[in-house]
Amino acid sequence: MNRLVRAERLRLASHRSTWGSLLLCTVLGLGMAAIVGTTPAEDGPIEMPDVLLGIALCQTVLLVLSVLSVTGEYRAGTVRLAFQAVPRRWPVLAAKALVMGALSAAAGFVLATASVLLVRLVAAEGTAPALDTATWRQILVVPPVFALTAVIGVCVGALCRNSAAAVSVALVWSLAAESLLALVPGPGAALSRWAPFTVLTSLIDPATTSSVPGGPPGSLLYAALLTAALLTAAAALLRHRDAA
Amino acid sequence: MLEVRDLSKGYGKRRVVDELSFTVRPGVVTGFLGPNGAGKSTTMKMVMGLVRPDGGRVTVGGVPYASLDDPVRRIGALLDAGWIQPTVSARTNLRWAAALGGVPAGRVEQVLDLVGLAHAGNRKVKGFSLGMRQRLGIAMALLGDAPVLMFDEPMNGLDPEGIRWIRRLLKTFAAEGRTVLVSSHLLSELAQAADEAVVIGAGRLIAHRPVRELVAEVPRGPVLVTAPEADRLARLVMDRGLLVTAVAPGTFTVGDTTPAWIGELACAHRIAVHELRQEVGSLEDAYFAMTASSTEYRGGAPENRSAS
Repeated sequence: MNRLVRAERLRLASHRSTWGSLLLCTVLGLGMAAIVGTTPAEDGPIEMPDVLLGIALCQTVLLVLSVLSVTGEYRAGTVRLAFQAVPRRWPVLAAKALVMGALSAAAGFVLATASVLLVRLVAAEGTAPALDTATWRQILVVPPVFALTAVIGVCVGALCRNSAAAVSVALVWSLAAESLLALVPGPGAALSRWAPFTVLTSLIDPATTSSVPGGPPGSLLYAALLTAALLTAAAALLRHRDAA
Repeated sequence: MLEVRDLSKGYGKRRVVDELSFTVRPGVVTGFLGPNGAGKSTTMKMVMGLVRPDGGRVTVGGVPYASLDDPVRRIGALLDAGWIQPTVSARTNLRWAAALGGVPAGRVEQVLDLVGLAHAGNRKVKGFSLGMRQRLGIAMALLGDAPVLMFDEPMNGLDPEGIRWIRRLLKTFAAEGRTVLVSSHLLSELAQAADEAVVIGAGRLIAHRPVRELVAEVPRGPVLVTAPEADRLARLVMDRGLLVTAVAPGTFTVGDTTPAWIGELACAHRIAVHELRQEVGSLEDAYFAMTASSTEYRGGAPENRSAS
């Protein structure tokens, strides 16, 4: 597993798309924070969800990067070399999930912290959120949300294998499908509040509501279980399918 | 040692590999021959655990691929030189594969040297020529310094210099006591490089014999004769019932005979001969005759017969 993680880190670091995505995240995250910080607040202080507006965009960028971390290897054919080196195959997927999850979590933490600090720097006095426990709690929920998002991206990539298909599935799922599900008459609305991206988003933005009990820890645990199930399914299919 | 036993694989109704069995010995280069679509690549992918056989099994040094604890060090394969990240350098591609296989990074420089790419190690692969890509693919296969090596069509698209280089390389590997299996759809490509040949057609074994025997059985072509008195000699040959074809003024060919017979005839009539040689029949012809007849005795529905 150690060597797989090393190989995956090497692969990530050598691709320009990795650095491009991280740069895009920085621009989006901090850009939004700067706009929010400098826009005169109409009624009272700037709320944390507004500070983290750009974070939702970063989440999508990192989701796509995670999808491509798998499908890019299918397109290049190098995934077959990985399967030759590791005939059991699932460790290849696990290493990708681990590395992409860790990268996304780290990026999420840095971006969320930087967003808060930037808003505190540029906002009018007394309007920026204080660096208190409540704010830190909001910041610290971002890394696990980002990590789970990345792992879901890796799974979607492994299940679809084709870049265009996988990116479409990931984007439609995360941005549209769950909200559309809410519009389905009958159980639609109730179901959508249990859907994974809705639950993950509700952790950062209280305007989105989920029905998962237990507060943020409960939601994270629930989302982690769903993600683990998806990862297991992807690994099982990976083992089963011919890789040529 | 590489052992293939009763290996079968079908896609839908099409049987691509059909109860194929053969053993590749160490110390010699074994050619894996068959027309395009005979099932060579599919067989090699099954050896490497990429494609799951419907039946039969493959063992590398007596162990099935999936049970090898360190596959990269047991068997090195070039299945497709296109399996590479084009936007990163050759060296980074190799370092990635080395990390995956648990091979020390220092080995990367060794294999780059070995395939003659040391000067191009930092260049992106997308700027590589076909020959350089093949060399990089071979470098990938050599990373684990494995006792069993397998190359799928390594000479495809190479210039004569590249082909000579691969031939020498293959012989070196065999001389080091390794097991070497190399596929081609052209017998002539391997005639000088391989010691043994495993010939398959439509997924089935046709022959497993020394290459020398295969080449010896190639049908002989016509005898080419150049003589100042070509017309007189040609008439003498025709008088004896043989077919003469004029090639150029002073030169003709004779079918169904030997240079010795023509030489004796010319000598008996005191005719000078400037050139006398027999064209060796095309290796490809012999090989096609062999693979074609083997597909004919196969019964069954037409869709079972040919594989693409």
